[in-house]
Formats: sequence, structure tokens, C-alpha cells
Amino acid sequence: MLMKKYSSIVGLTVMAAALLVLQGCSTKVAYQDATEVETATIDFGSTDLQQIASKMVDSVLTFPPIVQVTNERRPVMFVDKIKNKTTEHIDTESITDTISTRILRSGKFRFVDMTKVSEVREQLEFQNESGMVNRNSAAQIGRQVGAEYMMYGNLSSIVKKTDDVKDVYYKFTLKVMHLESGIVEWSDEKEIRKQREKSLFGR
Amino acid sequence: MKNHHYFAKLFASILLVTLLNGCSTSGIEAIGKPDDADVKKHLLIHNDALAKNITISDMRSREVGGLLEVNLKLTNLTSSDKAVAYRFSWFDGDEFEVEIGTDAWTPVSLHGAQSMSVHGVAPNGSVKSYRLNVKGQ
Repeated sequence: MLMKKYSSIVGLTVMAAALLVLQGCSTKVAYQDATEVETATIDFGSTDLQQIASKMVDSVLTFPPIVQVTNERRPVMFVDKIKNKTTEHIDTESITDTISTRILRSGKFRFVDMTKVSEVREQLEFQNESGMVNRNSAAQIGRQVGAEYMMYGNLSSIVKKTDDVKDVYYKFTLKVMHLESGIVEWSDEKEIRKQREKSLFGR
Repeated sequence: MKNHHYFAKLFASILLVTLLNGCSTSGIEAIGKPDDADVKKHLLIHNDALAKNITISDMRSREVGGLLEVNLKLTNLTSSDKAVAYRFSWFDGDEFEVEIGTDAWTPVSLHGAQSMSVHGVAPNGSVKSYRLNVKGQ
């Protein structure tokens, strides 16, 4: 009687374990939280981008001289390219997009988009020269506002590797320059360090 | 007979651990309302096990250029290293969450008994209160 009871328990647990193992064999797709910490690989990832953007936006918006300027008006800024000095392919425009979007949404700065200059020119020429647009409603050429500040920076990395350990250090530097005077008004850095260790049975 | 008993226990333990893993949820929330005179600051604990390891204290806030700036202290109450993640949520005067999904989970590693400052700046001037979530990684 007792023996039978144990056999059924063993049978049940073996079945449960088998089910768990088989679950691991099926392929499934699931939506994940985009803000979750991501550690799929040691390469530059979404968590690194989000951490950099967050630190830079918080820093620039609370830096006393910048606070003083933005208290009275919303200066116009343009974003230059971020130089990627790492050995990885990293879309640095995506980092500056996130940073400029957050700064814009804070209501403290306005931006001019230098990537759209030719499209804007084409549209203004169409409005003013094609004869198809009512002159009273056409946007005038030569009325755009010039940027007062420029945002630029670079991303560098140091990678060290042994047979079992890979260590990656990223340093993101961002600066804001007053265009007329050439003075760098603000600068900050964000450092990120990640390490991957080979597990006992890992590759 | 004894062997059967042993394996049954082993499989049951594995099963239990696997199931419990799937149940782990966000841990501690710190809520700060700088303008509220009555209920200024308090902690909400959703995970007792994490709350025994990590605590949030020294909640401070101020206004910088019209933006709410907050500073809190995370402390590892144990003697071993702990990996946690935190995220801010921001609310306007009507308790509506603003800029939902902008703040991402930030991973931090706390050494045994280490304290660390956590800093956040509201995304815009409409923010009047905040919530800090801390969870295990």
C-alpha cells in the first residue's frame, strides 16, 4: 500500500519534470517590457542607451548656468553627430534622438533638425516658387531661427578579455557649446561597465 | 523504498523552486509628495524577502528650474552583494502619471552594507510627486 503511494508520487514528479523539460523545447514569442533591464549579451544594448539618456538629460536640465538661461526663455539647439569610437556598430543617432526628445519634452529647449534641411528647402521652394500655393499662406523663405547651442559628444569603450571573462567599459561624453562664443557651457560623462563570465557548462 | 522517497522529495523541491521563481514580483515602492503636509513619504512593500535585504531612506526633493529633483538612499541591509533595479514614475497635481514608460529600469549592484544615492529629475514642470520602485534582478 505504502509502496504504491510512493510509486505514484514518483510517477507524478517525473511527469512534472518531463513537462518542464518539454516546455523548454517549444518556441514561443512574447512581448517584453521595453524598459526592463536587458542582459541578453554583453554588447551595447537598450539598458545602456536608456541609462545614458537618463543621466545626460537629468544633468543638463539641473546644471545651474543652464537652469538660469532656460528659466527666461527656450533656447534653440541643434544636435551634431555622436562619434562612435568603440569597435561595435552602435546607432549613436538613436542615443541623441532619445536625449533630444526628452529635453524637448521638458519644455526647456527647442531644436532645429539638420537632417531635414533639404526636405524643408524643397517644400519652401514649392510654396514660394511653384505658383500653386496661395502667397498669403506660404511659409516665407529666410525666416528660420538659428540655433544658439550645439550638442555633440562621443562614445568610447575599453574591452578586456581573457579565456573566461570579458569586461567592457563604455564612456559617453556629451557637451553643449554656445555657438556664437564657442564656449562649452555644459559637459557630462556616463560610465558603464559590464562583465560576462563563462559559466561552467557554457560556451 | 528509501530511494523513491528521496527522489520524490528532490523533484518536489525542484518543482517548488521553479514555480516560486515565476512568482517573484516588484519589491519596494517609495512614494514622495513634497507638497503634501500630511502623508509626505512612505514605503510600500510588496516583497517581504527583498525588503529584508534592501531599504529606501533619506528621501529628499527640491525644485530646480521648475523641475522636481529627488534624491533617495538605497541601502543593502545584508553582508552579501545584491543586484537590484530601480525606476521612477512621475505624477502631476491630479495624480495622473506623466511621460509613462520614459524612465527605464536602472540596474545597480550594492556591496554588503553599502548605501547608494539614487537621483532623479522629473521629465517636465507639471510633476508634483514621484514613486520609486525597487525590485530584485
